[in-house]
Amino acid sequence: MSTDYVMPKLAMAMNEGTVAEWLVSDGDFVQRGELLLTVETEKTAYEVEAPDSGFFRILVGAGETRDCGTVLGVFYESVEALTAPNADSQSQTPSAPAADTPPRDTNATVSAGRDTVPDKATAAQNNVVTSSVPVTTGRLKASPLAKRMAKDAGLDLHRMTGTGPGGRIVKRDVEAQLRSQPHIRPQSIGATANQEDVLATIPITGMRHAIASRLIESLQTTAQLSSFWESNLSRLLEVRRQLVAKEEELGTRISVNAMLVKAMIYGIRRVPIANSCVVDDQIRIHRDVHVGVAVSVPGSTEYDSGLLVPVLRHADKLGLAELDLAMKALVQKAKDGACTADDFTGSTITFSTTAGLAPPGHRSTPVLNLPNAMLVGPSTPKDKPWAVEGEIKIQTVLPVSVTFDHRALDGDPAVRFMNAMHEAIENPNLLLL
Amino acid sequence: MRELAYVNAIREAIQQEMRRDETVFVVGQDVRGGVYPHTLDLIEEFGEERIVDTPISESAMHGTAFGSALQGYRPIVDFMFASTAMTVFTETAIMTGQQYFLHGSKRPVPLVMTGAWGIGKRTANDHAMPIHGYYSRAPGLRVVIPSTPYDAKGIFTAAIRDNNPVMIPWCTGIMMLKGDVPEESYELPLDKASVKRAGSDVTVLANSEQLQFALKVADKLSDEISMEVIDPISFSPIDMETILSSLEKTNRIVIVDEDWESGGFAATVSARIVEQAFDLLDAPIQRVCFPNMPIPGGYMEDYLRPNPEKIESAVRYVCA
Repeated sequence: MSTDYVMPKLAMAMNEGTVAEWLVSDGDFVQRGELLLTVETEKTAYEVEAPDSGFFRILVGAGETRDCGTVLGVFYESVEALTAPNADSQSQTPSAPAADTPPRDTNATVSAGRDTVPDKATAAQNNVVTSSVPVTTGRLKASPLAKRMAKDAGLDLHRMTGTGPGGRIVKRDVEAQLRSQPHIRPQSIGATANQEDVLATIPITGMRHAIASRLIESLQTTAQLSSFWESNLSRLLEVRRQLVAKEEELGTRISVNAMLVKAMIYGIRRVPIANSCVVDDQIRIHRDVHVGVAVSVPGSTEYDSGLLVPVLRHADKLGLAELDLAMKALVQKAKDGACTADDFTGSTITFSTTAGLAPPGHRSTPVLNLPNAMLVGPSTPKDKPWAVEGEIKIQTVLPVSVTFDHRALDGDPAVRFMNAMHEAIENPNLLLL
Repeated sequence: MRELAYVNAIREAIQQEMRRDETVFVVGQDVRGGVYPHTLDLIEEFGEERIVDTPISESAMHGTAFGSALQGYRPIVDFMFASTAMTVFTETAIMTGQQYFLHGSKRPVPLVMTGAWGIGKRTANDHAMPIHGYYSRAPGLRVVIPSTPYDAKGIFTAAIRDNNPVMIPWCTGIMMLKGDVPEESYELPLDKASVKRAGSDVTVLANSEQLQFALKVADKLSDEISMEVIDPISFSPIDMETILSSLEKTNRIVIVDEDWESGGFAATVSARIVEQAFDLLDAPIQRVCFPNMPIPGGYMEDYLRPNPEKIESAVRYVCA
């Protein structure tokens, strides 16, 4: 008897992880609950406990990145089972855990398993394990057809989970990957400018890769559309001036953003489906409001930027001053690089403002932050002539863009939500509710 | 169209060819009496000179036929039971197959050899054993097995008209199988497989009674698995083109053959697929054949031979 150990899914948004370090040696008897390995995700690192006991065979070496659910090792009942020539993972024998295997994102092609051993494996253990043990030779089980298809498409079989017998990667697995694969890179680069003209080269890895793949996934897998409106911000700004005058007592200089989040929550209370997520063929409408706040952070060079969406939890339970403080603290934490993976999971709606950065009156079609079905994107207000009680006056007007997932909500609830939010912006008394 | 039983379709082909061409004659054991009805009563129309009974001597039957063929006749030698041809294997397979090549391509050998086989009739080894595996290794011979009444008439007609020696071991399991057969004479290609049912998930090769089994399984599984059923018809040469075209679509293959599993048609096709079309495979090739042991006779035959359950199991395995 043996039990596969797979890359754990440690957060809802986690799709893959890197084996940073094995905390046990290949062949060790591992007790359930003992620390087994360190897994790194795009955002943070975790120490993970062994879910089972047994003699543990390491199949994926340190430094390797695997999709969640991919087999990383196997718990065997006995030493005999561990060293039996046919000892094999029940569902998959992934790639050679070679330290020099190119990291993900390279256009890895299919290759025969390499005769490298896990870097943790000692010489003594190698003597025990005969060369016919597929796991140590890192043989990857894939049908010839799947291999050819993956090669043609430039896909890495090591990043796939086989659903065929014995974990074999078969045609349907490659097809599924092709369907879900975000095409980050253009198929052909074509003629590019002279290499000397390249100011900087930014590899699409790490955060850049996460942004690229998640946004492409968002655009390719949802029915998102954007809508726009303008709200007269003058009354809200007047209220804010009064609150700013009380800055010392309140302990914070209340921001327009905090008030807009309040208005958004008012809209959600009127139209709850605006606060929903599409997960696994279900639309989940949430009671609590956890706001994903888009934060621009520095990129890898002076030219680019990064984007994080940490989550402001229970925003609906916070008073205006608390909300303002919590939001500012969260943004700072993200900019400081201090967020953990937990900070990025569980948002129910997204707030992404470009106010101050974008030109006045700017509108956009923001890309949905999955799995949220609604994103609210206010931008820089603009002073303009506005009809006020039958007279034209100069007013400060806020442009708001929203994007919503038509799979989750239709135009009717979506515009009712927008209208409720608009109402709350123009009548800030409603923010008391 | 008119329906005819398989064995009567063979008879009609022989009869029409004997009427068309007076060099065609039948020689064999008890062909006048017609133990199997494909020669029944032909004696009445064509007489003793063209329906020639011999003693139980395969050398005599085959010697007569082979010599006549070299002299310009178009004989059909009927061994009654296909496996008895093996008594004169050197003559039937090696000398007949290579005659044209070894003697300077001067005289063709327009000879048809035939006989019945069929596991599952509980007749045991000699009467039951398939021989196409043995004969398909002999260079210079065509080895064909038609598996429907329509194919039987067209293949026998073409074989009689062909200038090469053709071995046609036909299966008693489908002897009385009925199907549409045109009354007029027609030929079918001797080297082409025939797609009997189109499908997209798995290619299943099957001949003789196993073809009927495979078609039954295809019906049974039609809601789950789309089976493409191909009758290979020709065992030498093998029509790889039809097989590989199908595999391009299905990427999975099951080869059913009642012959022994070792070194036969299924083994050859399996090897050629791996050599020529490795990249088309999405699952291991599966063979459903007779195990390498004597055909036992009695009820044991039912357990050992391929059957619908074994075919279904192999199909499910490759489609897992």
